[in-house]
Formats: sequence, structure tokens, C-alpha cells
Amino acid sequence: MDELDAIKPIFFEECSEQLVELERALALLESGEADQETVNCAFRAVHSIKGGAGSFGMTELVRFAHVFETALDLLRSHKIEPTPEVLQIFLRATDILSDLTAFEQGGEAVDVKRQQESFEALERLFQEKPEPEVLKETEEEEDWGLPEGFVPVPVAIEVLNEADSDQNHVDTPVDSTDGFEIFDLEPNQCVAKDEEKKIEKPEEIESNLPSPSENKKNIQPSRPVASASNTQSIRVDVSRIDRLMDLVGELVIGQAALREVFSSSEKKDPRGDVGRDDLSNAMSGTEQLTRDLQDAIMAVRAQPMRAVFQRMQRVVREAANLAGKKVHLEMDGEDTEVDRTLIEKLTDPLTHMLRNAVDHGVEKEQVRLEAGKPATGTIRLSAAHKSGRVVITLSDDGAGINRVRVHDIAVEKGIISADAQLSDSEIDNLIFAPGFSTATTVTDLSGRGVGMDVVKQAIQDLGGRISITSETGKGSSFSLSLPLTLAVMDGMLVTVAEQLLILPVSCIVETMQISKENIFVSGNNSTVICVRGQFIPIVDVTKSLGIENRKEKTNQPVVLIVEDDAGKMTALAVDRIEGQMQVVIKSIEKNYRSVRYVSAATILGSGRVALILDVPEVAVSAEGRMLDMWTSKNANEFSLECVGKV
Amino acid sequence: MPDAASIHVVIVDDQTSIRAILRNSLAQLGIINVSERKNGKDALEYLSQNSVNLIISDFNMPEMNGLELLKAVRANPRMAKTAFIILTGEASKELVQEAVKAGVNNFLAKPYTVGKLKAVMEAVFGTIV
Repeated sequence: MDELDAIKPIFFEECSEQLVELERALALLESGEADQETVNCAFRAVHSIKGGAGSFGMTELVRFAHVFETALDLLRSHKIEPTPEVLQIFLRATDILSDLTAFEQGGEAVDVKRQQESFEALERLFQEKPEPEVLKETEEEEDWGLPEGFVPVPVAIEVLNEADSDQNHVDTPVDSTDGFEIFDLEPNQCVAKDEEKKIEKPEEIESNLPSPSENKKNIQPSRPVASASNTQSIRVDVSRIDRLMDLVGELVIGQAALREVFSSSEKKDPRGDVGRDDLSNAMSGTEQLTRDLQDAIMAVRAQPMRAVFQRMQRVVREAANLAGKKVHLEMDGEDTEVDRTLIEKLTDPLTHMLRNAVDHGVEKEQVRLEAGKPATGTIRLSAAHKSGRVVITLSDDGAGINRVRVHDIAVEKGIISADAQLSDSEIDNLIFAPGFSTATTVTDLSGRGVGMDVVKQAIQDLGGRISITSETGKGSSFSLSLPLTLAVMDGMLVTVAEQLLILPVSCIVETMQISKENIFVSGNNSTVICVRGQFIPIVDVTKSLGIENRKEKTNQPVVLIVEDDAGKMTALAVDRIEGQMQVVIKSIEKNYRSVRYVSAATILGSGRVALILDVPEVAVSAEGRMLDMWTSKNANEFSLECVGKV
Repeated sequence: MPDAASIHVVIVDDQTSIRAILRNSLAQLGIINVSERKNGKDALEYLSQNSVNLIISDFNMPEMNGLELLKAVRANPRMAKTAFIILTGEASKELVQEAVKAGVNNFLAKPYTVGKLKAVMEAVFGTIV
């Protein structure tokens, strides 16, 4: 049945929403903040999954959901109480339900033993009760028992009056679809959930929105009718959105071209032509439009972090069970909206980090008690918007990084040399080094073949940064900073040996012109600059990129001081700063191949390609040299071209 | 003998997929004049401005459930006679009894086949052509 197959994706999307709802309801029950509606909500979630699954003939899913639903009904009718034991059974069942749904979607097969255990645990809940009554014998057969003697009530078909049937044709009120009609072309691929909803009181709808979007204010309805319901939940085939995203990219480039034309005409005729003001106005209009359009598109793609976060409850639950530890996961900022791609790609790194936190961070109960801590460890996961980026922090109240051990392991694995003198923070950051793993035995949890280096790489691939702070005995905290979108960013255009390069504005702290007096060559030829009494390592970008024979030597280089997440500063020396602009990020890996020190490319208004500098990588190249020097291997050739050439 | 094309149906269910499946099943019976609403409250609002021949509603929905919708529909003189079929997987005896008392025309159990849907509708309207 082709039509049914086309509906399936909608069903699966609903399933994942229902599972999130179910998790949330159970979490509320666990914390004792639940009311009757919470229980109803949990029941409805399982019920809906069962109903849909039945229509698609997913018998295993129906069978399991049925027994789950029956057990939840006992809770709903107060025949059982939400004791920790009962909730534990429900949480397990939720996991199985989620696995079964994933299996129907073509995922891994479900662990039969666990499924059976969970099934029986649920059954026991209502078998202990003398009268399960509801649903017990129903639905095994297709013809469930209608009440004795029920006779369908016949009615005659009325001929509906003209006015009515006319109205029926404009069934979907056009007003309420405003700017989003375009997504409504093929209902099987994209469904605007509330497309038909007529809105009398927009403010009421608004208050019902699960996730008020920060960007919502940027979406101007094209018609004056309330549009709030459309921002609530629009499911769109991602490839369409990607196409839109590309178009926006082109628009940004086009706008840059417009500016180019403008500035060149200005050079030709300094007095300015008649209508130049108009051109200027039109241009700033376009500029604004471009930004708005971009924001609107981002809002369409934005999704609350909740979808990922809720999944993490299970990760922690299972990891804690396996490790025999008591861990509680607290979450904050689930409503923070980020780009859909980010959401998808964050699941794996976050899962890994949480497993790590349970496995390596939180101590065993006994150890915690001896240290005067509560028996249950707490892991906090939070998300927030911070200066144009989304920051996710994951902290635990465990033992913190064991620096002596980390140092020893790093030496043992040849990551650092034995006499290396590292600061605490540098030792902490060694856990991100490739090939580093602190687990002495590979546990079932974090020993899945990947270390924190893989996590770091995954985050960097998303244009993000990760850092750690740790306090012995008090716990560790990871901070992930990610761009809101992967497509457009604010860039600083600079010239390096006649090459145009772009640096993300977000990482630049300040720019300055340096003079010779401020450059110092320290003991081992490492070069630093002195900025207001602070010494900052300086990197010659030209050298880093391997450009040897530059034509013109700059006497007065400009430095851009960049900062990483840990607050470590590096000065990057370039020839000239050209200006600031919005750039569309084009993957260089996809179109060419991965290039060291280059994170991506972009197309300038002039049509020229400019490379986007991988700032952390370039900055680390300075650090690496210094590490080399500390370890007195390979006393190096690093020098800044301009030094002494003035 | 009502003509399928002349029947206007409103489907009330909170699940998009269930609505889509039902719309598809109805189309197989030649019924194409179909509207959808996602809960009782929305349906009632729609019905206040549109006339339909048949309401097919889920039982368990947020905001306003199928039983409440049925009662509200029956309480409105304009819709008191509109055919109402309850589509549900939940078949607690009390709920069914209450629905019968409130004047439901027929029930359709989930999951259903197109044949079953046809039979349930024909029990209400007579043979649909």
C-alpha cells in the first residue's frame, strides 16, 4: 500500500513526539510534580502510538503498547500509585517502546529478553489487581464488544446547502497559512500540523506554544491574521528547507555584489550620481531583507533542544544501571532552539559525554558518602543562547579530573614528554588528545571505541568548540559552544600575502596594529607580543599556511587577537584588514578535500573564493610549537617574518 | 442510497497520521469531501460555521475529547441529527455506554479495514454508491 507507506514517516515523527511527551510526564511523576493531566498525557502518548501502529499492522509494537497502556490506565484510575518501583517499570517500558518504534523504522532489532522482562513487569502490575477491567479482553479481536443490543442509528444524508458546500472547498482557511503555504503542496511529505486551525484568540494560542521561539518576532506574517499557530509545529521535508537555505545563501552573495557595484561607482564619481541615495536606500533595504529572510528561515529550521535532551534521560539511566551508580540528570533550557542539523548531530557526542560523566565523573555511592556528598550523583545538562551562539554545558558533581593520573597516562601514551610542565587547565584538556582514554579497563559504557577526541572532532565539525573546567573533589564541567546555524556567519575579511582570508568575527577579541617594540622573542625563539602588560603568543598566519615567498613584506602587520573557549588568547598576524561581512559557508571538504588550517570557503561579492581560516587550529599550531619547546624536542624554526625587518 | 461524492465528512483526531489514513480510506470509498480537525474544540469551532454529513471522531484527545464533542454536537439543534461515528481503540464499557446514551450513530474500532469502515458507514446511511 503505497499511500500508507507515505503516511508512515508522519506516524514515526508523531511517535518520537509522543515518546518525548511520555518521558517528560514520567520525569514529572518522578519528581512529584505531576497532576492528573500529566498521567493522562502519558496514557495518551502510549495510546496514540498503539493506535497508529495498529493501522500499519505493526503487531509487536501494538502488543507492547497495549500492555503498557493498560498499566498506565491503572495509574490513571488511581489503582496503583506512582512509586519509584512502578516508575522504574514504566521508564524501562518507555525505552522498549522507543526501541520497538526505532525497529519499525528500520533500526536495530530489539533485545528480546529485555522486552519480555519489561512486558512481564507491566503485566504483573495489573495482574496483582483483582479487576483490571479496562481494555483487558478488548481489542484482541477486531470486533471489540459493543454494548449488548447496540444498533447503529441510521440517519438520512441531508443535502447541504449551497453556501455551506462552497465554503467546504476553501476548507483550509487561507489566512492561517500565511507565508508557509509553500510547504503545504504535498501533504505526504510535509504537513503543516495546524494549517487548518482557525484562530480567534492568537494570544491564547501563543500561550500554548510549547517552545516560544526567540526568532518568532522576526517572522512577519504577510497577512494580518494571526500566524502564531504556524510557528508552533511545521514539519517540512528537510531537503526543501535545504534548498531554501541555499537560495538565501545566493541572496547574501547577490547583496554583496550590489555593495560591490555601489562602492566602485562611488570611486568613479566622488560627487555621486543623481539617485545614488535611492540606490543606497534600496541597498540597505535589501540588506535588512536579507537578514530578516535569513532569520525567518533559521526559525523554520529551529527546533527546541528538548528532543535531544529527553533522550539523554535514558542514556543516563542505562549508564547508571550498568555502572551500579546512582545518578540524577537535571536539565535546563530544553526550549533553547537550535538548527535542526545541530540537533541531529549533537545526539551522539552528548550521549558519549553523558556516559563518560556517569562512568568517570560520578563516584560510586560508597565513595561519595565517604566524601560527605549525597549518595546520588547529579549531572546537569543545560542549553542557552549566548551572544549569537548556543552554549551547552554538562557538569557533574563527581570527583573531577584526576590530574596526576591524566598526566601519567599522557606521558605513557607519548602525548606529552615526561618532564613537561603543564598548567591544570592544560592537563584537563589532555583528555581531548587523540588516543587518550583514562579507562584502565574498557567498560561497557564509555569504551565503545571512541574517546573525547572524537567528541571534540564532532563538535568542531559543527563549527563548535568544547572546553573543560574541573575542580578536584567537586566535579567537572564541559562547555560546548556552537553556532546557531551552519550556513551563514559574520566574517572578518583579511589579506595575507595577497590572499583573502576570512576569520569568524565571533572569535576575535580585538584587532590592533603592532610595533616592533611590542614583539619579544622569548628563550626558545617563541614569539610573543605584549598587550597592556600581558604576553600573548603570536602566530604569523602567512607562515602557518606555508606561504614562503611572499612578494611584499609588510612593515606594519595587523594582529587579530583571538580567544578560545578557555579564555586562552593568541595573536594572529595578518597584512591587512579589509572589512567585516556576512559570509555564506561552503564546505571545502565536500567540494574539494579537507585542508589543514582551513575550515571552509566562501564566495565574495566579486565572485572570488575566499578561504575561511580554522582559527582554533591555527592558534593551536602556536601552542604546539611551544609545547615542543617545553619538551625540548625539535627546537623550531618559528619566527615572525616582520620582526627586525622594519 | 447516498452518493459517496455528496457526503461531507469531518475527521477529528489528534494524530496527523490517523487522519491521513482515514482520509485515504474514505477516498477509496469515493468520499473526497473531507475536512480534518485535531481535537473536539477545533471541530466544534469548525462545525459552527460549516455543515457536514458525518463526523468521525477519536475518543481520546487533548482539549476536548470525542465524548464531549458528541454531547456538544447533540446539544446544538442545527447539528443534533448529524451522523456521528466514534473511531477508537479504547473501548471501556462505560465510555461506550455513555456515547450510546449521548446519541452516537456507530462505532469504528481501530485498527480497521476499508471494508469495515464501509460497513460501519452503511449501517448509518444505507448503501453508499
